[in-house]
Amino acid sequence: MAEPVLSMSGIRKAYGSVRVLEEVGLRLEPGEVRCLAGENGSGKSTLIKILSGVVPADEGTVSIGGRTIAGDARAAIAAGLSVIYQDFSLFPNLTVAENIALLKSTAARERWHRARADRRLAEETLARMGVDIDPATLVELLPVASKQLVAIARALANDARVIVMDEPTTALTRSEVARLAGIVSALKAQGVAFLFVSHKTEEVFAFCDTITVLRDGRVVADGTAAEFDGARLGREMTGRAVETQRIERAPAPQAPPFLVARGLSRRGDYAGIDLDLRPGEVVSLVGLLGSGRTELALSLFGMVSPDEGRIEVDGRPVHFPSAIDAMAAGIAYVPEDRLTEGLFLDQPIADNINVATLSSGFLSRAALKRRAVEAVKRLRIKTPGVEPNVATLSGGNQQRVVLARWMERSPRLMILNGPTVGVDIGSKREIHEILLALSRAGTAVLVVTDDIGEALALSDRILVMVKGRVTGAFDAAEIEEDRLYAEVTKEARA
Amino acid sequence: MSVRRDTTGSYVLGLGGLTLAIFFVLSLLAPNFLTLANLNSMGSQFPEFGLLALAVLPTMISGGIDLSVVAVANLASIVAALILRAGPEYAWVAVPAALLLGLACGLLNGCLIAYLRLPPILATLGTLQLFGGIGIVITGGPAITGIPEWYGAFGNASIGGAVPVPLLVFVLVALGLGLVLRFTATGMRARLYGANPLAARFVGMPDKALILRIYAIAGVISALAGLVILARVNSANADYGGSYLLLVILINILAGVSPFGGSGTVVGIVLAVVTLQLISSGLNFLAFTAFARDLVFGGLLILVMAARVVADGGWIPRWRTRRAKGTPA
Repeated sequence: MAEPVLSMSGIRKAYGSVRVLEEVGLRLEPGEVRCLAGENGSGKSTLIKILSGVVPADEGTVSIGGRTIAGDARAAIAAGLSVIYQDFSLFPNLTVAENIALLKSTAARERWHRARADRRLAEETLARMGVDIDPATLVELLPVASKQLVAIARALANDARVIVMDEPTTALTRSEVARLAGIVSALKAQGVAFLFVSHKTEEVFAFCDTITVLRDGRVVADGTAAEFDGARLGREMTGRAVETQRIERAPAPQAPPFLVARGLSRRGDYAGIDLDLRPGEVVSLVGLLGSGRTELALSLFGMVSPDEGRIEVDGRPVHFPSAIDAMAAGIAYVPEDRLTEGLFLDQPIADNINVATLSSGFLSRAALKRRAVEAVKRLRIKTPGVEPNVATLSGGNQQRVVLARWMERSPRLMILNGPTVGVDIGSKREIHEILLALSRAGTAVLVVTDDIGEALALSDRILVMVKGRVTGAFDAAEIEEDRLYAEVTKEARA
Repeated sequence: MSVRRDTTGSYVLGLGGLTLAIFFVLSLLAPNFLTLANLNSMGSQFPEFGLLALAVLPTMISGGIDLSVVAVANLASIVAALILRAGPEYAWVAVPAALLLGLACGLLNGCLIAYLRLPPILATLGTLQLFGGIGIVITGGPAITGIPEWYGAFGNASIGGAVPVPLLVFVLVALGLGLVLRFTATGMRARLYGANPLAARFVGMPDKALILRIYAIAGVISALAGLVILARVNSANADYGGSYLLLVILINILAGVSPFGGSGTVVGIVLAVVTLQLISSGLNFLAFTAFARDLVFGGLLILVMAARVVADGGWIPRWRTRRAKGTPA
């Protein structure tokens, strides 16, 4: 075995009482391409933060290029680490050459801006990658795939020996993925090591040598890519034994549908969608990022308008110009990104719960408080009171606050986009129980997710969405996890 | 209005302590400070900019700002002055007309922000020029004088010989605004909208109506300030109170109102206004030059902000959470 360029061992990390990483080890040799796979909440991002020195580990060691890095981001960069985040962190208003050269010239403490040197460095680096991008172009004018290449070039220009990429293929088309694979293998031959962080591994698979799977903060599998196939990877990531245990439930009553959608289309997002959502039934809409799942869900809540098709509620055609109209029809929506879309972070828990049920005019603060206290008790939100800011709660408890807010309205249809993203396993199960209780009480529930285990655990019916179309409808009790995984990723791979 | 949020709470308490401390120091150092005449004179000075600060408060809580408050006040006082001068038979129209004008100005601001989606700072910078310009065109430049004496007398009167009428107006508006901000759906929504406008959309908050209402409130309070100014100065001028705009924003910051929206209390504003008035009068009493005032105000403001950032993390964590879009794993 060659000398590793990156090695992490015995990494432990806890945030308060929540253990995020337990005894995690990871190594990378020069020229190795490794995939770090794991679901949301598995501890991937924390591991990367520790690796890059942004967050210190509680225990364990990180060494890059033989140098020990202890919570020092600058030392990590100097040792040859470069992390490319999903947004690439480029300066859109600067040229390609300036973006590529900036890190290096900053690191070299250059006092003068030297346009010609920047340009030369950029040209050399892009040539090394075999990429043809004009260094004089403004980055904001580039397509996403080229921005990603510029980010890689920037890392290389700064003498990176290990490049970490977060979800590198989510926004790429198939041919762009192939191009990325080509560039990665060229750089690999030059001794650059890559760590791809992903929970949608199908494409990354194609160019990884080795795979490490993280689940609930532990390494559960580690081996060469040849030892894995899609099914095994899905299994290791979700941990079927824990996750997909189906919750026992009676067959859903065949009530007339609450909401019907026919031929719903929106250019560039989804097309020809038919839906029937019944009281007392849980339907999961499963699809990858970019499959149109979120846009479809937003359309049912009046946040995005469809171009074509019709929606009926209780058999009557409806049109939702805004969320207010959808709410008036009895629809609730738990958004995908709790922190930016769901919560008023630095505001009291009580206000976060009451915000969707305010009457106009004067409010009785005592009544509001009573209502919040009851909701906190009912959903078992762990908090000393309802006055503290909601930001003080853990992910699972924050999500319950959002749920409580909507349950106060007794919705007839609850749409949840990624209901347990960033929620620990214990809370996840309890949130599922809450949703099932809601469903038993006669609410139609639509869960939008890319978590196969969650869809299987919760649903009566599962709809698979690929590239804007519903490509399959399954009875959740009958479909196997491997099959569902294959269905969801089918077109993406082909 | 009371202290609810932990950081704002302790901050407002601290500000209250500062106010009291300044008051005691001045009472000891300047023998004539603690006289009815002086207190009365202070009480008729600060309500005009205090009202303007209260007008800005709801807009800042909602994450915006209203730079046009002084211009609205001047325009309202010009309109009231013209009506009052027109003859006693129209006098009763003057106050309602000025307030309606304030309402209209506020609604215009609200429309620009809610419907055209202009950033509040730019929209109200524009209307600041617009309203000021209308005032200049109406007056032709010079101040409007010749207001009936009874109006000025009313403005300079004291209830029971101790409470100046402008002070009474200020107290009533502070109470009313405090009530609205704390006990109505509008007040709560303004704060939540200021904290996270995107999340507000996701809970179906009627954001356009909310913004219209917030800026309308600001407009009406500004017009009231204009009426108080007219009574005190006895004339209406299109460019009165040039230094008030910055002062009023300083008061809001000193009051602990977050420049990013989502927090701010009437109590804080009242304390900040009183503190600045005390300092200003105190400097006069201690025979400092008038120029020292700006120096002290500026220094105090920076000191307070620095203390706040150091003591409780202040705005910087907020700024970070606002920018962090990821979900922690």
